[in-house]
Amino acid sequence: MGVNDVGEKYHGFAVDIVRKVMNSSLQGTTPGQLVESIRANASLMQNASGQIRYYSGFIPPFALSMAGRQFSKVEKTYPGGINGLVMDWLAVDHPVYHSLLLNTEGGKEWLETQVREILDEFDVFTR
Amino acid sequence: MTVELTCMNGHTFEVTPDMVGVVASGTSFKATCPECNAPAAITHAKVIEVMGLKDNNEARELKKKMAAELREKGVVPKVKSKPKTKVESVKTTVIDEEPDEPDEIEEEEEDSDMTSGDPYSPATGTPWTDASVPFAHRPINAPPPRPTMPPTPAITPRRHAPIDVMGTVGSAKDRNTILRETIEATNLPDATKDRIRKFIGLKPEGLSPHELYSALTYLGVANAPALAVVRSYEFDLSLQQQEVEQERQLYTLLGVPMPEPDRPTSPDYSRGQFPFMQQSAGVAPSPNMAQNPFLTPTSRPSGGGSPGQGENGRAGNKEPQIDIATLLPLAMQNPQLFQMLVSNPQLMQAVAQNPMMLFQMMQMTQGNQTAQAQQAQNGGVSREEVRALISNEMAELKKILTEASGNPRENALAEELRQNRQFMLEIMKGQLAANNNAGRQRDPLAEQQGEILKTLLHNTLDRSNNDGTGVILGALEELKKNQNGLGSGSQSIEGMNLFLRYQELANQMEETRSRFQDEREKRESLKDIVNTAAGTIGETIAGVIQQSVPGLPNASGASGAPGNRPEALGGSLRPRPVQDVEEEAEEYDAPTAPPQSPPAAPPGVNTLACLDCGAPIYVPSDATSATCPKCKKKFGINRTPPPEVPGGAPDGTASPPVDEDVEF
Repeated sequence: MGVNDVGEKYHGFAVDIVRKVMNSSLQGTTPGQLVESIRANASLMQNASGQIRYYSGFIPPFALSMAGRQFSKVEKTYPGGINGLVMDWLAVDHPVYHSLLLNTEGGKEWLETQVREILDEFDVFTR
Repeated sequence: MTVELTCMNGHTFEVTPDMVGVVASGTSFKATCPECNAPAAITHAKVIEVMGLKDNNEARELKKKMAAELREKGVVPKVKSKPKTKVESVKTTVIDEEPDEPDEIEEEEEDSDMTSGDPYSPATGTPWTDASVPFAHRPINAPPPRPTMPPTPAITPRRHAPIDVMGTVGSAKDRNTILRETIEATNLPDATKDRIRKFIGLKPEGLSPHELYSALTYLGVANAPALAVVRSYEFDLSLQQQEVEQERQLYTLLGVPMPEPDRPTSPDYSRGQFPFMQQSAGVAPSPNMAQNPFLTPTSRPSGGGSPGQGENGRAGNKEPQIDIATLLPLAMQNPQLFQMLVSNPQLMQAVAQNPMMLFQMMQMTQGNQTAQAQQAQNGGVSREEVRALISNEMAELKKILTEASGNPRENALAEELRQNRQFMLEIMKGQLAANNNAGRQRDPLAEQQGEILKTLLHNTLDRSNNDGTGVILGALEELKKNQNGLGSGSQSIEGMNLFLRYQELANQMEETRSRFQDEREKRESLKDIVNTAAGTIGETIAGVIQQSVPGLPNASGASGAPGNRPEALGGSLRPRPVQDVEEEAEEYDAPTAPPQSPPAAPPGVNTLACLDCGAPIYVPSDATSATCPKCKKKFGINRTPPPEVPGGAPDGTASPPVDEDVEF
């Protein structure tokens, strides 16, 4: 699956919430701050919980039980799992940050940490 | 001896031997008209005379010879797939006295679409009678006709199904009457009209549009006029059907069973899906009279009561009487109208003469009831509605009177009908006036609505103090007045339209204002950007001048503030490394296309262009390698040492931007 196809395919509302939270967090960050955050291993997801709660408010409660299956499916089927999917999203949504993550030492690991934080918040909220 | 023929276009010409030929099928002779080249059928006897032949055998031989010549010339005979049942049956009964007639029939069969057995031959212009039909007499030796093949005209399959739009109500005119009227209204030649009339007269069961089209085509009428005539005929038929349907509805409303028309006992109604009212019994009775369910059979008028018009005629001028028992279903449905009829014998007499009048009265009373119901809901009927209602009723009554006066058989009753209808009109006017007066009484709830609307209006205007408030205020005030009026429906509608128009204008103004505001914000933001960029560029130029001109104090060393260092100003203000990359690519003779100019880098980030695909690569300022996010190719970044700048900072932090080389 190419990069251009990422924005086209819909992987589920839970996965889409991760994308929205990631985009929202990066919108308030400059490239310099991103590089500094990567080098300092600082988190940008301070408000992830509130955002997840906001986005999940549009989903009926009975459907939230499907979130785990959506993440599992992406983890099994998508190349690189959820982290690879987030990287491809960034290539479409934030090409500058995507390039910086690629060219900054420890960028991928930092991104995995951010994704993990989002998933943890999501798991707490949907539990 | 001269032989004269008449072609289908009416030209009479003398036949010479060179005019004689055979038809394309080779089954019969023809002669070509010298004026219009139209073929005309010629009998064997005439051919014998013209060509000087001995007998029919020689004529047949000549016909075969001519047909063979035609085939040699490449004329393809017309072969039709319709069955030859009639021709075969005819051949078994042909006698030798006049053997040329069956050939003509064959040509008729193949050159026309009319159903076989039509008793009129348009080609010869002479109607077929029993005496002229040669095969009416069976020879002694001939076998008896088979029971499965009756001597009746064979039924050839139709190309199109006949269009039958006639209803079954007896009041309808028969098809032939409608067709005669239609034909009279056309611009067809008189000869064609006469022939069609004769043809109609010989088809008592009626002529379908398909048959009419076939006959017109056979008579030489072009396709378009023939179609026009057929369409007109169909239209008249459909009009008739609609009238019949209206009458059917009337009977349904009255609960009276539909009367069957007085049909003659016709021997053959196999094709008659439509009624046929015999026209030969003198003047046909009026449809309304014949179908009036309130008339007793002995009291039907018959147009003056002249003798010789049957039982109805002997009844004389006795006025038609209505049976009260027949109005009982009406009493159940509409007691008001029933009471009106019972109390007014003249009105009942008018209804007896014209049942449609009763239908109109029912509609009027229902309209009154509906108007009363609307009045109860809306609080009144506007003057325009009352005026329109009265004018409609007047128009209807005038129309009925015109129709009644146009019929000479009802002239005697016209005056009486007019009086009755005027009486009804007076009743209607009185009722409508009463309704109108009742509608003028004001509803207290409506007055409260006006107050509420006024309060809402002022509150709304207090909240929104914009430019169009005065106009909208006027419109709303007008609307409020109309709400209070309760009698001027048209003014309310106009006021509402005015209000809506002004509301639309206000919305457009608001939209325009918001657009102007957005543009102003954009201009202000652009101005801020320009001011910031100008200040930054000025500082940068000042720093470069300070560093490049010897003798000046080292501004960067003196200040030491990172904000004044060009490196700290961000990659967008540094010399664009892409220029160096291009130069290096030229030096190393890079095989790829020159990289595209990357966009300006954000602060703290350098921008490179991929030497392979040209995609922009964003790297941190101190990165030593770069990976293209598009093609995933990795590059190394060589940082050349800064040139010796007198007075420059030894640590390089104050040096000009580093040049970057990209290695493959």
